[in-house]
Amino acid sequence: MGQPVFLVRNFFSRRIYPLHILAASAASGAGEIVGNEFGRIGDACRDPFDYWTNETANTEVRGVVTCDRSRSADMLAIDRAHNLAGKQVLCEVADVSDFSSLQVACDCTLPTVTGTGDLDDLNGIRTEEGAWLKRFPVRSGKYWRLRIPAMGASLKPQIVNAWLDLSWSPTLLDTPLAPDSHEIGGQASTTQSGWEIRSGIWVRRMGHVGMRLLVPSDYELARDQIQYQFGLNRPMWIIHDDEQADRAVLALPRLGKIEIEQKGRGWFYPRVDFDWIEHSAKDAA
Amino acid sequence: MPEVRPSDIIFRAGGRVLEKYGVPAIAGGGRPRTGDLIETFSRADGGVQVGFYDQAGLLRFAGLNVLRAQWMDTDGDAIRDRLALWFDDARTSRALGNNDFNAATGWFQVGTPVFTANYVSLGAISMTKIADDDGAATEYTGFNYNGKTDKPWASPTDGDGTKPVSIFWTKSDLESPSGAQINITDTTAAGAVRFSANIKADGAGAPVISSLTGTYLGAEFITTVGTRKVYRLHFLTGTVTVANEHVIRVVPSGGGPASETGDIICALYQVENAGAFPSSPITPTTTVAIVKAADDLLYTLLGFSPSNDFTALARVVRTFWMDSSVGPAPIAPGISAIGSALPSLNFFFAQAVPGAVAVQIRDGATIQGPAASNLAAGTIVSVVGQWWNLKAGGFCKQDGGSGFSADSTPAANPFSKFGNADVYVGRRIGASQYLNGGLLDLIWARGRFSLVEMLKAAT
Repeated sequence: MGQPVFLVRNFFSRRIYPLHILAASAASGAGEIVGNEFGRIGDACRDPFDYWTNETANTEVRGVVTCDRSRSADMLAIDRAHNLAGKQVLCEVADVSDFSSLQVACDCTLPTVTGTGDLDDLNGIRTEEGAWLKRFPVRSGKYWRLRIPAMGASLKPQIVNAWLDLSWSPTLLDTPLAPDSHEIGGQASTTQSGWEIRSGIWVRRMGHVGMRLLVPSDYELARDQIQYQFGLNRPMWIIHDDEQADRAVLALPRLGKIEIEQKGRGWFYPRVDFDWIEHSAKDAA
Repeated sequence: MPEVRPSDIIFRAGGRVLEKYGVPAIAGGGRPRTGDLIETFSRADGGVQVGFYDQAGLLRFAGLNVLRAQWMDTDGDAIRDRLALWFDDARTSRALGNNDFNAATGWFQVGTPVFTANYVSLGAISMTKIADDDGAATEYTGFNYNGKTDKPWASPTDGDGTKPVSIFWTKSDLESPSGAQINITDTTAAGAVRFSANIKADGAGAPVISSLTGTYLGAEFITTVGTRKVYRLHFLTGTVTVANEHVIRVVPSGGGPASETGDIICALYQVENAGAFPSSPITPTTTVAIVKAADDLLYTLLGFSPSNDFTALARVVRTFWMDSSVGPAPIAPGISAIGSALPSLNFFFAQAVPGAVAVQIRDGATIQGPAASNLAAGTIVSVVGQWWNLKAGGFCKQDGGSGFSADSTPAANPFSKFGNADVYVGRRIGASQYLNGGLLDLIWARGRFSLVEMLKAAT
């Protein structure tokens, strides 16, 4: 079993980074259009109609985030409902605003089907619900961009959400572990015959994460990633096992509490415990 | 043994922090929910692009007010494995057309040397192959500054003395028996040679320098491109007279007999205005000099009080200037300071005392501070400074890896607050001298800890 990975911070999020500047351009036509602005990819709204696209079909499109300082990242996620399967996506970083001197963080052709795979796979991994995740060697810089070459006749990219930032992979999760638990909800009534009539059924994944940190300095990261970011109701990608990243889930904290407990082995090795639910699960079929 | 608890740490900065936390510096408690630390970084040169190396060792440029994070080899295996924040002094690159060597930027040719541009890509720049293929005459390229407005050195501003020179180099395809040569002559002084170096390759493709006028400071391994090993060669010229006229030359066949043929594969022949050693690469010049400002990084914190004792740890990638006193005026490369105004605490290397790190208490009237030659061996230099008893006449001492120095004499003027709440990173207070190197870790902690204890907190 591999290690868990968490990604909650996001360069594209103005909520997390209010000083970041987002701008889109295209080789031909505008890089964004009214109603489908580039800034939408950082709002974490999973409505499939809340996406970024550009003006002209079959042209290269670039979405640039200018950070407020040099920042590091090692993971890119593109949420479900994108139309990039089989298409090339590049993530590039530079320390000059015109990207005349740049590093390629990742250059992938997105998988068209879901298969068991590692978060570090060459072309990343497509999750069971259609999102795409890719971890790459850490890069740092002030200017980051997504670049999508021309996709073909009459095609324009559509990206509902994207995450780009430094992931956190602290330790192994406590076992027993039930990463695929889900809950079923809806209305139910029982007839005179004892039949249960159900309507408005919904299904969503849920679970619990518990782990004991192994390095004292991880407390600071737990405090930032879990307590402050996730704990402020910001969606977080949870990959329970980076070797089986196709089962990743975008989670919200379950209403209640998030704890970093200092017990057992003392102040230096705190425990992290929280419950999560799936963020805007797909409609149950 | 006391242990550095997370709550003891006030401030962390460095490439390691950038790798692990995603930002160049954090407060002791991590990244607060109110946002990251207030960072002020400037390189006030209007947007000159300055170089750094990515993980593959390829040269990249950073633009206006962008802090550089450079990948560095920290274990001697020629693989760049760690990020380091990079800080330089201000420098001016004055040699013109220093990456194309041809007539477009004013270079002249003797004979018909064969130029192959873009011969080896180094990322943001490419190396040029210049070949002398005439077995009857010496062919080369040069730049004669006589009559030009821009000179290799500005007179009298830059001052007479030795000057830094650097060039990217890789082994020739056809090495002449004399090797390739780069030189600078003073035509006002009847062609006196102010700088000259013949460069050949050893069996492993590393440079071997001979027939030297000036000082060879060493070769910095940059990267491997295919089977080629690329180095940046660091020199100081002999003493130059800045008011005189000079000619800069690149001679593929090394200035030997006319019958010799050969080539040189090189890039960015950087001649700088002043300094004890070459600075990092500056974007290539064309027809005017390029002025690069220093890298100024500063954080404003409120967690420092002279009521506390302090220990600071720095981990820096070893560079050639640390162990020898080179250049016309050895400098004191800064690591950090608390308080950008007096009173303050100062932490820096002391190049005038080779192999030394120094700590100071600047109480506004006097300077207390020992510097001792105690840097331990290794690719990474780990140094610690300690300051204590500041409110009653403070002391300080340092450890470069070979044990603590003696305590300083007590400071004459106790103080109850620092000059301000600023923390310098990569520079010192006093003389504006910057680290001129790569900072892996910087940790300021409350309390008095040893090097070993601080190193545990750095992992």
